[in-house]
Amino acid sequence: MSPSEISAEIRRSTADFGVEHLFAGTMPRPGALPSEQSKHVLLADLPPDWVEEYFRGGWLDRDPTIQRVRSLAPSFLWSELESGDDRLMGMAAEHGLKAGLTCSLLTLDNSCAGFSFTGAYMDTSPETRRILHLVSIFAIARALSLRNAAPSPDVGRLSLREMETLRWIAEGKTDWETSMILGVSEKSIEKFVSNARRKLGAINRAHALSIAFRSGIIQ
Amino acid sequence: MITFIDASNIHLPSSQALMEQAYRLRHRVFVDESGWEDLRRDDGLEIDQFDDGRAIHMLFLEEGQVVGYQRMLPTTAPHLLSEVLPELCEGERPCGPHVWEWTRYCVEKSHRERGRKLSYTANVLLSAIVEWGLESGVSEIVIEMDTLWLLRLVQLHFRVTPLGFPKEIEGRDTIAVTAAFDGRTLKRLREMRGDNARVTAKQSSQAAGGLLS
Repeated sequence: MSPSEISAEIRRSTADFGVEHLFAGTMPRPGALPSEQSKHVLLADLPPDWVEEYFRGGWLDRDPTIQRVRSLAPSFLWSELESGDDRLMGMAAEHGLKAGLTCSLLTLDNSCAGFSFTGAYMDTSPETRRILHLVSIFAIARALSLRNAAPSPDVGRLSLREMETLRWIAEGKTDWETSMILGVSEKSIEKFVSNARRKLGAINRAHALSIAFRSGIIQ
Repeated sequence: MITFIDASNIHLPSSQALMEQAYRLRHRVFVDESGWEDLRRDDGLEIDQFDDGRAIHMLFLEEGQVVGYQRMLPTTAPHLLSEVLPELCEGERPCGPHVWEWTRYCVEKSHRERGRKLSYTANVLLSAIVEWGLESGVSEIVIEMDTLWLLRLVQLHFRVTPLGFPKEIEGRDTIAVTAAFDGRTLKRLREMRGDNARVTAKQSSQAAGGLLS
């Protein structure tokens, strides 16, 4: 079972409560870079343009639900949040994420995890909240065991040359041009790219570049 | 090593001395710290109606001091879920010689989680349940607990089944579950602890006779 299958299964079984999207992850340290933040995502079934706006805008550290999860408030409705900065919730509503419930969980290695259910109209009765809370626990346990089993991209181990090569290729340079810029042979550039691809767990060049962008190696 | 105290040895003076320490630890943790005022006693010993001949007390000692404790109660006799918290079980109550109830789990403050890992003492106590269970024909335990701990149990490879929805009890979100375990659970606990040693003596050499009969 993959994370997206878990998400799909949860959406099927919770659709009657008005759940349209969900999001789950462990809590990155405050001030973490977007690349670090993305490694904490366990399950994500959200409108893609919303995800981009959220991470690009650096909203995580200003997100009132994140603050509540960090304090281990058991579960709470977004409508109950008292936040100084409610722009984020306004933006979420524009993407159809009007109502939400977030559950906080404590993992075995003592880190906090959060699980949000959201939709335009959600049933937020006490009984539904309890059902969703239980769903979140078992789903997070499954997602965590998947993550621990999967090798993570070895971003930290890219060499300087490999990173430089990716940066120039992302600027539209050919292998030959890059080899001239870096003062090495074209063969070496091919080698750098294939090493970077392997270390990032990418299936091709485009994939390697997209992982490199997402994890902040190149900007 | 975990020390077992049950009907077969609780009358011994050495057991009595250890049980007094255990009852004091329970009082410190459940009354003084958690504020279960109904259990407060002037002598500082937390003892309830289930501390009778049927209970199995598991004690973790360090230099002669009880630093961890838990109590197992048979579900074939009155226990917390049947007598005190029946509202947490919405369906049929699990009952039988293979199901015991895990109660009064507590660890001395100085021996609790530091940093990110499950503390050694907590791990040894959990391992003791699994080792004891696997050798005594016990395959699952009933637990009433703060919902917050549920995820950790699942991560430790207990197969957890809720007996009802969480309810608020004395300000805490409380749920009753059964947690089944097997060799995988024990392996996981030992991996986390970083050693393969037993934490309980073999059942045959233990004072806990009569358990299988």
